[in-house]
Formats: sequence, structure tokens, C-alpha cells
Amino acid sequence: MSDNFILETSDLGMAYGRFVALFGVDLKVQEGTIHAVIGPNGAGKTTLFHCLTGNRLPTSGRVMFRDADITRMPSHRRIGIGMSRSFQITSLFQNLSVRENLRLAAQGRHMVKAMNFWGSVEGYPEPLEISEELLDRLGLMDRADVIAGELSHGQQRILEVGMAMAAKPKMLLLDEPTSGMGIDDIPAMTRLIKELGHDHTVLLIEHNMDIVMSISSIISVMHQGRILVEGAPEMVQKDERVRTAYLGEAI
Amino acid sequence: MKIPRFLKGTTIASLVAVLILPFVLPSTSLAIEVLIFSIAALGCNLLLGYTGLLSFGQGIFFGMGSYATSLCLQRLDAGLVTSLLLAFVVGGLVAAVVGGLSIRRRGIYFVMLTLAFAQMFYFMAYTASGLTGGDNGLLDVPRPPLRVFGFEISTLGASLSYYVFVAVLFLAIFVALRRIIHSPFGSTLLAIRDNEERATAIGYNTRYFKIVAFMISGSITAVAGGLYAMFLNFAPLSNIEHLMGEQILFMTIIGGTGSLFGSFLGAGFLIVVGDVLSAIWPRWLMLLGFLLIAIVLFMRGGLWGCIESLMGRFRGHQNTKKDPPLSESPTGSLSTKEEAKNER
Repeated sequence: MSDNFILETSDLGMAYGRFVALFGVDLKVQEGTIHAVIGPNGAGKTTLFHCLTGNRLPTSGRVMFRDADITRMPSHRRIGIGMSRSFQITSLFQNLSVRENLRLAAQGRHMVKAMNFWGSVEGYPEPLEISEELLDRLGLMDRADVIAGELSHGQQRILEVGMAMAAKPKMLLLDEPTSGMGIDDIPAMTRLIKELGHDHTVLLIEHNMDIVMSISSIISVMHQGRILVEGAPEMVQKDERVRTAYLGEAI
Repeated sequence: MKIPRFLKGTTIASLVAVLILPFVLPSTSLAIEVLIFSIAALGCNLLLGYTGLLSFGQGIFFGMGSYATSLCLQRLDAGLVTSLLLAFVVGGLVAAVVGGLSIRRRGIYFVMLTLAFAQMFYFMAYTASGLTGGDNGLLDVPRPPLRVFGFEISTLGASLSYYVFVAVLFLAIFVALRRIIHSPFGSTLLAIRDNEERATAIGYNTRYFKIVAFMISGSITAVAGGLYAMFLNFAPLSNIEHLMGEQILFMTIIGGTGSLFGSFLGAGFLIVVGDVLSAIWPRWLMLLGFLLIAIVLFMRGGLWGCIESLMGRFRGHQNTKKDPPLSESPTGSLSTKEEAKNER
């Protein structure tokens, strides 16, 4: 295995009964890049994502993360090896404050300390510090004590990504971070992901072409359960097969 | 000197309540009963209010606690503290098994599993009459004097001295639960209650947390069961019936889930109102049904939620929604979870 691939799948296949969603996908994500996976609806992006996060067990092939086989590792343990994710449909602790959301996300990295039922929350300062730092970075400081469910949709999407950052992962898997966002909020998200690319590896599933083309270093285009084309944005943009795949969907 | 958070606020309220209770209620026994069931409701609240687990299994822990204490007193001739400690351990272990198996399913299937366990333990107790006395229950359960390191502190013979003993335990459990709730562990329980999928995604093995919550709840409820057996001098089969579990659930919901002081209010309300109404009308349980419907429909925060919003109005603040984890009913959170799933 090559050293600079942080995540690799080999021959990853997924079948739901007789319907095959993934046909032997070999995805290689280079460390320190923003790698986007795009493709028309039904191309298998979400299924691929589920297999990478441990929500679904692939029916064939395997997933390697930093040279360790994690195909069967339960999702909650993936935080510990430095892999964290965000959700396409916003999934926050709606009844807890923004600060508490981030603190809990930071606390999850150390299960043993989180199981402490006799000490106080203040007695474990690291998650508190991380949450303050993130509130600042996400521009949510003035909303820190607001219940997460009361944030605007755009802010909830930002917090959604922030929750994944709180575990201080090596790699972030972002599932359509701009899903449902208004045009006004998108630049902030784009900036955030771009910044994340400086010190993390980011795997991004995204529909918004402008974002994908402007920030990713490598794009994998999926079509009908396979990776159709892979390469730099300029190359993908010009590729005939990609156009046909997308046009095919339009017709 | 800085007073820790768990010794302020509702802890002081409980202390005051415990001090005046025997004087405002018509009898000390009634006050004892209120506190014993407050302890049971506290145990239930940790699951229902703070973890979002609606367990019909609380009667199991209560009944097992009362059997464990009674048998320990009768057969092993053990002391009071030992017997209650045994109940504590047995309750925790039984809860680990019942909880551990039930949480393998979620939502309504989880609830059904706890109900099935409640029936199973009831029939086990009914069948094992050599141990439990079956239908007759265990008669002549003694209430030994309270001895600590060989020193006799009190004979606990008089109602008031037993009340003091129960009150001290109640306050200790209340404070301990407040500590637990404000600990990293407790904050994680709230997270699991709110959104288990996310809790898993940020690294929590939610099963461990639920099992530990179950064990704490089971231990506390079993202590209440043990205290109840010593209070009645009798461990009836009804202690382990599913009705017992339901009663504990009623108290927790009426008082307000997600508020520890609410558990005391709920237990006090149900027992005192039951005492008054049953003297007037034998069918009083029917009224209770209406009451429960009214609370679920109009007063989702229970009695505590009511007091909170009244206090808020009194102060002129509009902060009735300030603490949603402490005033939102678990039925609400269950339904929102279902909705979230349907969206998917």
C-alpha cells in the first residue's frame, strides 16, 4: 500500500438484494487533498459514503484507512482512528445549545473520559476548549447559547460540519455539506471547506458544481455504481463521458 | 467557598420538602411512602427523562429489590445496610441483563421488550414460591436497627425514625443523581436522547451508555423496593407486577420527565391524591386516567414544567423554553425521532 493514500477501497461492491449499487469501486484518496465524488442521482455516491462511514457493510471488497482494514469497524469507533463525518440531512442535538453540541462532539473522542459519571463537565476541560475554538472558527460565537434547533438553516449546516471537525480528525467525510443551503450562505461553506483542506484530508460528496470545481484537487465522477472518470477539475470538466452521463440523466 | 452546583437549587428544595413533609401530611407512613416512591421515580427518570428510554421494567427492579432485601434479612440474618446493599447490587445486575437485551431494539420494539421482561419476571416470582412466597409474598419481613460499624444508631422502630432514615437515603440519591446528570456521562445521555445517530457518529458507543444508565436506574429502584418491603414488613407479589412499573412511570411523567425534583412531586402527588381519593371513591384510579391524559395533552412538562413556567411568568421573563432538555416530555422526543426517520 502506498503511504500517501489515506483512504483506499478495493473492489468495493454493494448489492441490495438483486439491485447492485456499487460495482467494484477502487477509490484512492490522497492525504491532504480535497477529493470530491460527484455523479448524477442514483450513481451510488450515497451508498459509497455509507460503506466508508460504517453505516452499511459492503457485500464485497474492503476499505483501508491508513493501511488498516476498517471494512467491518462499527461507525462509533471510526472517530478514534481519525475519521469523522457530517450528514446530508442535518443531524444535530436539536434541544441542546450550540456550544454543548460542539462540546459533546469533542468529548466523543475519549470514550473512557466520557463514561465518567462522577466528575463534572467542567472537570474535563479539553472538549470545552475545543468547542470555544470551533465556535470562533465557525463564526457562531454569538449564537453559542442558542438551542441548535433555533439556528437558521445555513448556520445549522455550518454547525453540522463543525460537529465533524470537533473530533480533530485526520480525514473528514462530508455528505453534501451545502444541501438545502441558500445562495447567500454557500460562500461561507465553500470557504470553510477550503480551509479544512489545509490541515485535513476531505472527501466530499457534492451536487453543487461551482463548489466542486473551485475547491477540489481531485474529482471522481460516479455513474451507475462505478467510477467513470477521475482527475483534476479541468480534466473532468472537459471529459466527454462525464457530459454524456449527466446529459443522459437529463433526457 | 464555592458551593458545588449539585448542592444548590432543587437540592435545597428537596431538603426543605423532606423536612416539612411529615408535618403537612396526615401520617408519617404516608410521608415514608412518598419518599420511597420518589426514589423509585428518580431511578425511572434517569432512563425516561435523561436517556429517552421508556422502560416498563422498573417494576422488575423494584420487586427484585424487595425480594433481595427481604430474603437477606430473613434467611441470612444480615443487617439493614448489607440487605440494602444486596438489593442495590441485584438491581444493577438484573437491570444490566434486562436493559442490555432490550436496547438491542429501539423505539416501540424496545418498549415491548421491557414489557415482556416485566411479565416474565412476574411469572418467575409467582412460580418460585419457595423463594418468593408466590402469591402470598414474603411475610414478616423484619426492620432491623440501623448499625454502622457495630454502633447502633437507631432501632428504626418508630415511624419517624424510619422516615429520617429513608429521607437521608432519598437526599443522598438525589444529590448523587444530580452529580451524574451534570457529569460527562450524564451530558452524553442527553445527547443520546436527543439524537442517537449523531451520538454514534461522533464516537459514542451508545449501548454502553444505555446499559450503564439502566444499571444505575435498576440499583436505585431496587433500593426503593427494599425500603418498601421493610416499611410494609412484607414483600408482596404486587411489588414485581407490571402495574408497579406503570405506577412508577406515571409518577415520573406526572412530575415531569427530565427534572429530578419533578420525580418527587409526581410521587408525592400520586400517593397523596390516591390516599385522599381512595377514601372518597373506590374507583379513583379512573380519575387518575383522566389526569394522565390531561397531563400528556396539555402539560407536557408535568408538574415541574408547570411550576417552572409559573415561576417564569412571575419573574416576568419569557424564558419558559430556557431548558428544553429539562422540560420536554420524552413522548415528544420519541415522536420527533420518528418524524426524522420518516423524512429519510
